[in-house]
Amino acid sequence: MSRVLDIRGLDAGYGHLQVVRQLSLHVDEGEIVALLGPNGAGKTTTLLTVSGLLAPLAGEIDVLGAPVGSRSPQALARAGCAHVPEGRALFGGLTARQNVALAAGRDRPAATQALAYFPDLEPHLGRRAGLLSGGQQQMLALARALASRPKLLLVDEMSLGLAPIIVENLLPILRRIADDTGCGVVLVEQHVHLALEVADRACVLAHGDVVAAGTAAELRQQPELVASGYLGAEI
Amino acid sequence: MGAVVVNGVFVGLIYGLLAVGLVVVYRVSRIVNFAYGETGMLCAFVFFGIRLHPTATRLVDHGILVALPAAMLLGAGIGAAMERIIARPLRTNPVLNGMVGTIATSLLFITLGIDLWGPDVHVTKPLVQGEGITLLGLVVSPQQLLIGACTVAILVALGTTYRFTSFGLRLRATAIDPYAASLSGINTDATAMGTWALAGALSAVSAILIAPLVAMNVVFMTFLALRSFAAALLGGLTSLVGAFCAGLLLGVAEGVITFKSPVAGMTDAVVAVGILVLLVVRPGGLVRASY
Repeated sequence: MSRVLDIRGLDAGYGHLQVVRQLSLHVDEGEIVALLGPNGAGKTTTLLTVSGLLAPLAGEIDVLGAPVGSRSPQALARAGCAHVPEGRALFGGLTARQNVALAAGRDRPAATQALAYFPDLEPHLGRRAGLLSGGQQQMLALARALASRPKLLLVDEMSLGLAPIIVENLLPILRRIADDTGCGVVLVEQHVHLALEVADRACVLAHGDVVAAGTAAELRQQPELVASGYLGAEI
Repeated sequence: MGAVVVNGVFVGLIYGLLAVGLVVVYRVSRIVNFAYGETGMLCAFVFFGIRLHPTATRLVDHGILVALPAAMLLGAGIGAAMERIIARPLRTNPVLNGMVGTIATSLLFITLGIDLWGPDVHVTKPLVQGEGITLLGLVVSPQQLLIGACTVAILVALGTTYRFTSFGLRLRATAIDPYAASLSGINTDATAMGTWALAGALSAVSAILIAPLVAMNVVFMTFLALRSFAAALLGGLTSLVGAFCAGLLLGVAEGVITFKSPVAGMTDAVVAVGILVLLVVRPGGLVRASY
C-alpha cells in the first residue's frame, strides 16, 4: 500500500502567526484519516498547507511521493490532490454539470463515475450550483473533486451548515470512495463520532499541537482522549 | 435623422467591441485596462505601416493577409505581456495599483507612438472599396458593412467560446472564483494570460476597423476608449452583452445628440452627465453580473 501523504514535523501558519506545530501525519492509499479538534486547532491550516495554498513555515510534506515544495495549488490538483475546502468553493454561476466537467476535463467517464456516487444530484445537474441546497452543494463539491480522479482527497468541514442526517448519509459514501478508488482521504470533521465511524485512523489537534492519535477503533474506545482535545473537556 | 442613427450604430459597434475587450479582461483580473485603446493604436499603426510600406520607388502593400495577423499578434503579445508584468505581480495588491499600472502603460504607448510616428494625422487605406449599399433608403458604406460583419463574427466567436468550449468554461470559472479555479486544477495564470492576449487582439481589430473612418494619430483610440470605458461601466463591467449593448446605445445617443444639438461640444457634456446620473442611480451598472 503506497503512501499518498506524508507530513513530517510541519509548522504551519500565516506569516508570523504559527498555528500548527510539529505535526507528523501520513495517509496511505485507500485510507481515511480524520483530523479532529476544536475551532482554531489548525485543521484547516493543515489542509491549506498540504494543497499548496499556504507555504509551510517548517517541516516537510510529500504528496504522492514528491515534495510539495513550491508547487502551486493547480499543479498539485493536476497531480492528483483534490481539496474540498470549507464553504465548498463551487462556481455558483455555472451549472452542476459544468462544475464537474471542469474538474474532469477531457476525461468524461471520470465525471460520469464521480456523479454515480451521488444519484440524488442527477435531477439537478442542469441547475446553477448556487441555487442548490446545502446538501446538494456538498455532494457536488465531492463529485467535482472525484471527477479529477484524485489519489489524495482533502475534505474540510463537510458538515458545515448541514443537518447531521445529511452528514450521516455522506460519510459512508466517502468510505466507499476510498475503498473503491484507493484514494487516500484526510477528513476534517466536527462530528467526531460520525467521523470515527468511517475513518481508519484519527489525529486530534488542540491549539496546533497533536494531543491524541491512533486508530479510529482505539479512539472510539477512549472518548476521553478525544474530548481532552476539545477545550480540555472532561468526560 | 435615419442616416444619423445608422452612423451612430456603426460607431456604437466599435464602442461595444472595445467595451467587450475591457470586460473580458476585467472579469478575469478585476482590472480596468486603461491602456486598451493605446494597444489598439500601436497595432493600427503597424497594420497600416505594413499596408502602406514605402520603398525607394513606391509603396508596397503587403496585403491584409499579412498585415492583419501581424497586428493581431502584436496586440495579443502586448496583452500577454501586460498580464505578466502588471496584472499578475499586483494580483494580491489593491486593484487600484494594477489600474495605475495600466494608466502608466497607456502614457508609455502614446510616448512610443509619438516617437515612432509623430503627433500628426497619418494616412490610412480603406479596408474595402466599392459603392456601398442602400438599406431602407439609407446609404451604408463598405467600411460600415465591414464593421458590422466583423462585429457579428467576433461576438459569435466569443459567445461560442465562452458557452461551448472547455477553454470558455475555464475562463468563466476563473472569472467567478480564481481560488476555486486553482483548486480545480485550472491553470489560472495561463487562463488570465490567454484572456489578456485575446483582448489585445480584439483591441487591434477594433482599432484597424475604425481607423479609416477617423483621423488616425497616436491618440485616436484614447478618445474612443474613453467612451468604451463608460459603456463597460454601464454594462456592469462583467456582462459582455451589457457592455456591448451599452456601447451601441452610446454610439447612437451621441449621433442623435450631435445632430440635434445647437451648440458644438454639447454632445460630450450631455453624454458625460447622462453617464454620471446613471452611475449614481445604478452604481453597479445597468446589467447584473453574469458569467
